[in-house]
Amino acid sequence: MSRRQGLFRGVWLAMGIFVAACVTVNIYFPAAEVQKAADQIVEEVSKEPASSEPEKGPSPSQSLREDVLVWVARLLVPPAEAAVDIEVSTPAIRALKKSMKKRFAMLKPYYVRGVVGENNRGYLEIRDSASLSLKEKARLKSLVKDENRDRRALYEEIIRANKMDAKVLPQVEGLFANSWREKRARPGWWIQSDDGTWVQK
Amino acid sequence: MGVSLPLRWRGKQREGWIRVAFRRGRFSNPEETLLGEGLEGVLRVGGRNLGVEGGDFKAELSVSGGELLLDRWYLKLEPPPLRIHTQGKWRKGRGVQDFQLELDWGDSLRLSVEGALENFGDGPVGRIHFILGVPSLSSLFQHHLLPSLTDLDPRWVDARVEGTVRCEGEVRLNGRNGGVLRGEWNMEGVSFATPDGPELAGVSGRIPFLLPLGEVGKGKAPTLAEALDGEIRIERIEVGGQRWEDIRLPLRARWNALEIRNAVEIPLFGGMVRMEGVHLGPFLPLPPDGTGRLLLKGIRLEEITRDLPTGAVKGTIQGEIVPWVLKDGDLQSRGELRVSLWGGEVRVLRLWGERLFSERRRLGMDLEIHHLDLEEATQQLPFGRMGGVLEGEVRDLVFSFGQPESFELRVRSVHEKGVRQYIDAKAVENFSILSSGVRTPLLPWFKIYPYSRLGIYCKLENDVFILRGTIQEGGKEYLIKRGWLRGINVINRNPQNRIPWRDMLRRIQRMFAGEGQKVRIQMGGAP
Repeated sequence: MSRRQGLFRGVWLAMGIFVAACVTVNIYFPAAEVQKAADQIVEEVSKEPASSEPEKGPSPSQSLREDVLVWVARLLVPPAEAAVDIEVSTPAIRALKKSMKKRFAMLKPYYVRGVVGENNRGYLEIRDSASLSLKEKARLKSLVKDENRDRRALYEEIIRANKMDAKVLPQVEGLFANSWREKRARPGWWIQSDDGTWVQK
Repeated sequence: MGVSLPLRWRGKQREGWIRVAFRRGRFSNPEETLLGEGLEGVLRVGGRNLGVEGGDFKAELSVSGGELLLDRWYLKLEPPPLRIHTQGKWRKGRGVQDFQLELDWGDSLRLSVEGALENFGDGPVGRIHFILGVPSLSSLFQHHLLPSLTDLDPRWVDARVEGTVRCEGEVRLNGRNGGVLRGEWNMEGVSFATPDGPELAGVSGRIPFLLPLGEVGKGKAPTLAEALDGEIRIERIEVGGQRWEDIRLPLRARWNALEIRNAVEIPLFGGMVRMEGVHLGPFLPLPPDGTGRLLLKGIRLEEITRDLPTGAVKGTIQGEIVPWVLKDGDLQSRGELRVSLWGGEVRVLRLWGERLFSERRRLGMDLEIHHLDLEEATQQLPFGRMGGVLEGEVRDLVFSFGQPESFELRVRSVHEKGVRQYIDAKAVENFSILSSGVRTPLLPWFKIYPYSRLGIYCKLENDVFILRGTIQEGGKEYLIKRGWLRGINVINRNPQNRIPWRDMLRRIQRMFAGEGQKVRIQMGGAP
């Protein structure tokens, strides 16, 4: 190998390393944290409506003694700094969750009958509405449209609240798709696999 | 589906007719956005002088029963039948001449269209005149819209709509260059009311429009200089206990825009709101952009705040939002509103809105707090008594879904000759509850404590409050610093405090627990 060829190779190698260094910059996306948050939210909005529970927490009539104890405890043990955790609460997120939770009771019969299913993109989909009357179809279309509008808004709010790039929406949708299929769908309900096929859970 | 297909053909006149009678008919488009089921009726299609060069066509459709689904709108077709009649002349290479279409749906809807279209290859060219009439809004609403609306929200069941509406206009199409839609809406005696919602009564007048068809680009130069004038008169509007009467809005439609011609003054909360230079445009594509000026004068704060559990706050609001600019559903503004209250003033600056036409709208602003008299304020607020003068600011105050979403507040006391700076035991205790969640264990020996300085920083973001003192001395962080000889210090022992939204609501509940029914805090959001 001539000296000139060696130099040429060296330059190429250096350029290769430089390019590799340029393209291996990682942009951190907290997938595990978002997945955890998605699981929590989906579980919360998929609960059966229960009788109203009394609010927990310190009552207005908490005694002075209890106050002193808590006060001293807080002085001695300051609350731990928040670890890496995705913040998932804003007024918009709370309102969207409330609306979705309320809608779940109306959607449930359609899940059970196999009319709707959870797709692999994080949204609800009408699978087979042939058995429904036109009036029921209208009602279901409204429910599904509203549900998917709220889901999209929820994903966008989570991204905004966490100051993430709007481009991560497909990733957030994908993680929520896991949660809807895992946490909301019950045995016998329809879910879409990652390869696109519809199966009964 | 039952269908009968008698075919008549007269060869000499080249005339043919097909009559289709259908029962329990159904149809759908591939996307299932338009569906019909259980349809009953008759379709008659035919023509004269039929040949390869064209012919005169005629079609009549009468549907007396069945159901329709238009996207998510359900319509039950009941008598009177829906009748559509159309006729015209089709000539090869010349398009459709003398085209007429009549749609009659009793009192609910009538449509009459006539015109001519040609040159379909490069996009249609021609003119169509149309009249769309709703002889009875009540009939259309009660029979055809209410079933779908009540299914979406049962509160619609008590809604009431009356009046008549008519829209007359003209479509001019110019092939690839798109076209123009011009005309006006006429309204007579239109009213809308819901039991607990807004009420609109006696709306009449004309709303002109001059809109582009086809490709619409925002910012595209106007292609028509003409203007169409109209006016809307509203006898009465009632919203949230406010009532306005005899409102007149003089309108002018320009190319893809709508303007309010003159300044309009509307009395509001004992004062006046003046709208100037309101221009909505480009109108298409929706939502419309717009601009204008808004002037507020002498609006009485006590009328706005009269239902507050703490009692009405006395004061006035005035100022100018000049200009406001609406673009792609977002609002930006300049100018300021000045709220005079508690011996001082709060200035509202940089009002903005995001997604104004959606449920997820966000409203934001900055506030400057000037010379607030704490004694006057705390006499009204059940926080405890304080004296002093307060200055400060609230940056990036944002509301969404009717709740504060974020803000950053900084307030400090300023010395003023003759103004006593003091805080009572209850206010100290409430500071303690707010910042640490517990009452102070130090029992007050004196009812009133003097202080020398007050400095508070509070931030809300993602439903987490941070409450800090801004006075740093001797390695301590003070919210309130005592006087030289006596008084009280309120010290933040936990500079990393992060108070979740629900905890803060509970703390506020506890703060006002002794107020009995005077103050009630509602827990917001899902648990």
